[in-house]
Amino acid sequence: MTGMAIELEGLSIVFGRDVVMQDLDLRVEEGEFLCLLGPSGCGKSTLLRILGGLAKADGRVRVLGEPPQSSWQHLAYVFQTPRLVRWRNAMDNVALGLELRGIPGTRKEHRASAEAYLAQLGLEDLAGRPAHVLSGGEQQRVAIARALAVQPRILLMDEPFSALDVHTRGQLRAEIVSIWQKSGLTIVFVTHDIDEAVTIGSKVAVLSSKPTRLLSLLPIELSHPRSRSSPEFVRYRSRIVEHFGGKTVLDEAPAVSS
Amino acid sequence: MSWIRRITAEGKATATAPEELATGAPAEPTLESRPAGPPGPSEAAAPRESTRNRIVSLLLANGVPLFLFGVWWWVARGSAEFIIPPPFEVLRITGRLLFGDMAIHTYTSFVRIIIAVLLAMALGGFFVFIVRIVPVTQKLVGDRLVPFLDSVPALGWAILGVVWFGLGHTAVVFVVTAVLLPFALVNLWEGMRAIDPDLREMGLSFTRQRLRILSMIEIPLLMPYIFAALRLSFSVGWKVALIAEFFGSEAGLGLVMNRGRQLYDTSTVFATIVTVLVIVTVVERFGFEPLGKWFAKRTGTEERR
Repeated sequence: MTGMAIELEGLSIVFGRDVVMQDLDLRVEEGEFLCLLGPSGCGKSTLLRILGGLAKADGRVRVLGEPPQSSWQHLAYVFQTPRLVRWRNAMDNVALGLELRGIPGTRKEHRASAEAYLAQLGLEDLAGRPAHVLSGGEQQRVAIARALAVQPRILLMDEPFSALDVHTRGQLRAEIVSIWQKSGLTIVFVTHDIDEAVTIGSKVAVLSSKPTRLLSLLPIELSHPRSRSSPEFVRYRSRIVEHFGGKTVLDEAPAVSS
Repeated sequence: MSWIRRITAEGKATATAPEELATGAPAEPTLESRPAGPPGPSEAAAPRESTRNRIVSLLLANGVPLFLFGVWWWVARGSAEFIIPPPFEVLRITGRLLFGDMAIHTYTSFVRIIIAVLLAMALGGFFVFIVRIVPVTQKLVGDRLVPFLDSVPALGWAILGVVWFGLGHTAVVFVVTAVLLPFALVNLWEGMRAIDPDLREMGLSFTRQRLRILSMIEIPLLMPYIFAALRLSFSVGWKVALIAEFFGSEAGLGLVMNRGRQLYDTSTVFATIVTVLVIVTVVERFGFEPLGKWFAKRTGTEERR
């Protein structure tokens, strides 16, 4: 029986007079791939920050049974932009995560570990390249390797593929699903792309616009890889679209990508 | 912060300068800044024009100083030596100051300046660190300490240095440090403010240890600002050190200059100035410039051509 990775009860996010989120209840089991789907400004990214103790909110938050201030070392983030440091090459950027986390080991051991994670993401040949000369997709792969290298129990991903081209986005989605299947990680993935959520998630939490409520928690019982043209996929997609009054496009971002 | 705005407005130590200072070259207009439109005849002739411009620029840069040197030599022929000394006599004394029996004075000043620059950087770093971790001290440092240090004249510090520490190394190092401290403070603070909050948050997502974030993310990000402050401090340091040594030292180029003044030995006064010029130029050309280029290349901030 799997434990509970994340428990939110009565979570509210208020900025001054602006009530972003009100009384949100959500539970994520360990090993789930949860997609947080909602329009921009509904507090999805803030929610990820709250889980890692990078932002505060009212309500009860438990991550692996503990408050975020105690459980942060079991988490790792992949942000919307790669956030690599320019003065380190790809391998040393991955090693930076290990060094920051204080994982025991010599520099050589950290580098060896970094190389292994880069290889897992198909970047072994680019390990020595300066971070700033890598393409957007390669940089985001390095960021994913950096997060995985610290061996988190929960991976928090904040629209990590939104700035990439359609082809790279598709590749990375497949890679992250493969990593999830092999590792048994819990992944919380923020997106405003309906198709992306149904393509990769094992569960989709559909959030409303502000003040944000949980509209639906939808388990996606489809095997990977998922075909967007399959009747089941279309059915899941339609169920989510209904929550948005038939809107297939959330905000300015395309909800239906090719 | 008002002190940042004020000092940077004077163009002493700006936050935008580090890349330019690091590469040793002014920023060039980018392709994006070119007006849109089809290439015309003027663009076809551009390479020829740019070669001609380069030649004219080289001729001007080297010809004008040579011409002025000639004027100096010509004027000196008809003047008393204590008013306009002959250039070759000045060069002879410069040689003694750099490599001969008087070199001890030059290198004494040099070492004092290096120590003062490092001390000013360390103290500046300390104050910025305090402001960063105890934000209530920001007003004290920014609105009281910096304006105070910035407004006390170097001459005032020089006199106080002698009164408090007597003649010697301590007085000179104290004076130079006091004058350079605001430069270090302003540059480091601007650097701290310019740190990418996203990178800081990335660091925070991996650790809660402030020192790790400081050493692995913030200090490397501050390096262009530290480098800019070092570069600026070194050249300003020479100006200040000579004033300090003029009053409060038994050795150093300031003392040499003072003795030259007392003996109406204007050649030595000129030679002292030339010596400083040579040292600052050599350190700039063979120290800061290659270091800046290496650093810019390493951090990916080099000019793209």
